[in-house]
Amino acid sequence: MGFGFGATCRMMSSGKQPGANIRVQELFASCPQVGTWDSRPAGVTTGLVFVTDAKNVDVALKVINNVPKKHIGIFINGTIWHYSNSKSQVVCMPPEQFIHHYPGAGIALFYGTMPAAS
Amino acid sequence: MKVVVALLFVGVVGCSGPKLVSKVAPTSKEAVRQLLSLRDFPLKAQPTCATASTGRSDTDLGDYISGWMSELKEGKGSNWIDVSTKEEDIPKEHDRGWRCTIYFRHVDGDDRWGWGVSFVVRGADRTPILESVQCLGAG
Repeated sequence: MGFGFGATCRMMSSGKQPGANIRVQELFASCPQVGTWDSRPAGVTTGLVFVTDAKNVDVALKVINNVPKKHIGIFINGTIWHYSNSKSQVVCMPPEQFIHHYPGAGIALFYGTMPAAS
Repeated sequence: MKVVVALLFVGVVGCSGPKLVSKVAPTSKEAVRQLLSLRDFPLKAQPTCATASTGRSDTDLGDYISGWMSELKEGKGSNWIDVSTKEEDIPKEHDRGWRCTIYFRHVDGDDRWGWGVSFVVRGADRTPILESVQCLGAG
């Protein structure tokens, strides 16, 4: 995907391969367009999806606070793909399931259009 | 005896090789103490730290450490502080030192994270090198 901006896995190790960004808050800020999940334009069928408590997000400023309870996935049409920490593998599920990634009444989904490769 | 002591002194002081005085790695307590001494380190001075803190108005490593430590809350799952040290060259100073890595960790099912700091302390006087500071963590 070419997300070589910001804090990358390469910065955290001594590897020689190109690195990719590893921080949710930096990815959110790098999306050309963000918004609440329900406000997603009909034409946006692929992109990044974020799950966290809505109070941690300022869409207008394009900011997600670096709180522990936030997670990211990729949405392709109606399916969300993400890495499950508890299962140690990539899994896919519908948005109605992804929103329950964390418990709590304030948990919400946000979309972001794909950042440009760098 | 005095001659032997004098020769030993010259041998240590006059050594032009690596200056590592102590071969004993910093203890966990010493590594955390050195981390606390870095509290005024500005987050903007290091790209890995610039966006790593929990609060938007945070400015220094003290804010960063305080934010993550305060997330180690009582409740479900496990919290712990993970400290490790590894010997490392300091080419600019012709010295060897110790890279100290300190993580604040939490695991509760899918709620799994670790954020921390890595820095090198000099072998000669065991003080931290500011240019070596990195904020660690992903997610």
